[in-house]
Amino acid sequence: MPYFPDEVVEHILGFVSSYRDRDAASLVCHAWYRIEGLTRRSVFISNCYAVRPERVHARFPCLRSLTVKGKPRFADFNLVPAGWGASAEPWVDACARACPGLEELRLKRMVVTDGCLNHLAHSFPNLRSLVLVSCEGFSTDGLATIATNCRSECYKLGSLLLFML
Amino acid sequence: MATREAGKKMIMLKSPDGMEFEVEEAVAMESQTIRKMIEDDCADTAILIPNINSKILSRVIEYCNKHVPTTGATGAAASDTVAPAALAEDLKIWDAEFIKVNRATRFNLIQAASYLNIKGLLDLTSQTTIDTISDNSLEEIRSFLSTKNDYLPEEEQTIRRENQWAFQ
Repeated sequence: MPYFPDEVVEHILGFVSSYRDRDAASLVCHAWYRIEGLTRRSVFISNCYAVRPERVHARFPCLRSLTVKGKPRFADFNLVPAGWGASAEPWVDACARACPGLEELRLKRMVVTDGCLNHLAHSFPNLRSLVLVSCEGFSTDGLATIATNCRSECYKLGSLLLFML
Repeated sequence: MATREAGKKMIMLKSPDGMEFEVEEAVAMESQTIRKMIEDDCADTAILIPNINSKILSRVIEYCNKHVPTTGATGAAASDTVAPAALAEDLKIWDAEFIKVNRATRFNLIQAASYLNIKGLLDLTSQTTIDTISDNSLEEIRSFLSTKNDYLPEEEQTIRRENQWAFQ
C-alpha cells in the first residue's frame, strides 16, 4: 500500500473541518497528529481550565482564531461565587507570546480586565474580531483602548466586532 | 518527441514500466508539474513520469482529457452548445464514475495527482477518501489507510483525554 507524503495528508485534512473529525484524525498516528496540529486554524476550548494555554499553542502553532469558554453556564444565574476565576489574562498572555498573528478571539463568561484589553489592543496587529460574550471585569476605559489602538486595522480589515451580551 | 498532429502539439509521456502515451500538450499541461517542464523547455523528447505505472498514468490521462478546457479537448464530450452549468454537472457525474475504483488504485491516483500537481484530481481523490472514512471508527480508518498505530497506549490516552476535555 502506498505511503502518503505529508503534503498529501495535509491536502486530505483540508477537507476535514469539524472539530470532532479533526480530533479523530489526530488519533490516527503521529504523522497525522502533527499535520493536523500544524494545519488547524481555529481552536475551540470548551473549558479554560481543561488545558494550559501554552499547550494549545504548542499543539496548534498556526492558529488564527481562538474561542475560550470560562465559567460554567450556571454563572448566568449568579450561582458561581465571586472570584471563581476564569481570567482571560493567561490566555491573552500566551497568545501574545506564541501567536501574534491572531485574527479572532472569542471569550465567553470570562473575566477580562481593562489591563487585559490594553494588552490585547497592543499585541495583535491582525486582530479583526474580538467577541466578548457574558464577560465581566472591564470598563469603558478598556473598550476605549481597543477602539483607539485597533481603529487603523478597522479601516483596513473591516469592522472590529465588539459584541457584548 | 514533440510532434504535430492536426495542428495540435503532442507530448509523449512514458511510464517507468515502458509504456508510452502520446497526449496533446494542453492535456498534459493539466499537470502543473508537466506544465513547468514544458515551459522550462525540459520536454523536447518524451517525459518520463517516475513512480506512476502505466495503469495509473492512463487513468490520469483519461482524467486530464476530460477536464482540459473544451477549446483544446478532443476526447471531451462537451460541445460549444452546452451551457457551462450543464457542463459542470456532466463533469461531476463523470468524476463520480471515474473515482469508483478500488482502494489501492485510488491511493495510487492520490499520489500521482500529488506528484503531477493536478489540483482537480487531488481534490477529487482526497474528498472521496474523507467521505469514505468519515463515519468509521478509528481502527477502521487506520486499517483503511494501512497506517500503523504508532502511539503508545498512554500517548493515545493522553490525546484522547485532551481532545475530549479541551478541543471539543
